Amino acid sequence: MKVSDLKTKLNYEEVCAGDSDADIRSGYTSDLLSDVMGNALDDSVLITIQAHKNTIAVATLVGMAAVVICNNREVPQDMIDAANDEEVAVFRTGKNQFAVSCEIGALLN
Amino acid sequence: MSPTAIAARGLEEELDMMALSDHNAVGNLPAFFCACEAAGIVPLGGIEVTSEEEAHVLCLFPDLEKAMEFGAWVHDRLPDIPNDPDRFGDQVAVNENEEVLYEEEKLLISATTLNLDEILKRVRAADGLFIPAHVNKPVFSLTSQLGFIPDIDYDALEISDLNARVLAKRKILISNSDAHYLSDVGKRFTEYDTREVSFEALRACLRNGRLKPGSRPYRF
Repeated sequence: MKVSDLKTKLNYEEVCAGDSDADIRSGYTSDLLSDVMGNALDDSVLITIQAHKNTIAVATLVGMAAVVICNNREVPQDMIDAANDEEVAVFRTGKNQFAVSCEIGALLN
Repeated sequence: MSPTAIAARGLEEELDMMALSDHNAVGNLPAFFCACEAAGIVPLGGIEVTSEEEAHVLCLFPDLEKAMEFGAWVHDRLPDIPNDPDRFGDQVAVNENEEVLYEEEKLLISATTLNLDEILKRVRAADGLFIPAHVNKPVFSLTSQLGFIPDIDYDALEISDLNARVLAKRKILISNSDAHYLSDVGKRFTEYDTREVSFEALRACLRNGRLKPGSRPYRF
């Protein structure tokens, strides 16, 4: 799947477009950034409620292409700025992490 | 933000006592002690530890040596993830002349492998103070990571907003600048009702509650 599918196929709100043509080959669901840092794969999407700029730092470090913020958590401006600088896509949805993981999992299979 | 510059700002803000508490690092404490002593400010050796739960805890120690020992113990429990200076900035330790001593290679924004109880136990063994940081904040706080403030043996709770509502069994609230930039030094503070300015006097004030958190308007 592509980053843009998160918007076009799953209707998540696009907060930062990132590299919309980039491929996503897996996902990682976690709200503990150290866990993400240690275990997530590159070219993946992070599913989390951690809506702050440190999430972008970790996503960048791992080489993740996109972040989906769940439960309609508000995305602060400094997170948007960091995501634009690093070209990490950010999406937002009212769904929870489980529901989003299922939806993305279905697209990946 | 060198230790010398921080002490100079403390002097401008008329602070009697200051703590340096870098994230998971103590390398700048010796220079900070020199700078504070030269400026007539009482220095506190500290560190802001990121627990396994990703809550920040301010740990303060009775002397430089204890703080350095504790810092070395924390350093060994940081993961081997290297810093990327282009992305996260340089992590340097300097001396009192602002000369770079070394560059910290491990990424200091990482979480340690230490849980809150392990940190608390080690702080107690070093006779230090255990103060969960900015407990009202929606990130990296007890509240954000656990959902509540557990009734553990903390010495105080730090708040970053004087109007914060804190749900805790023991409310010993203090306010510190948590300054990441020089201009923020002194923007929040706590007044302690004591004649003596020392670590032990601070400990006594936290015990008897003779303190008052404060803040000043933003200055450019």
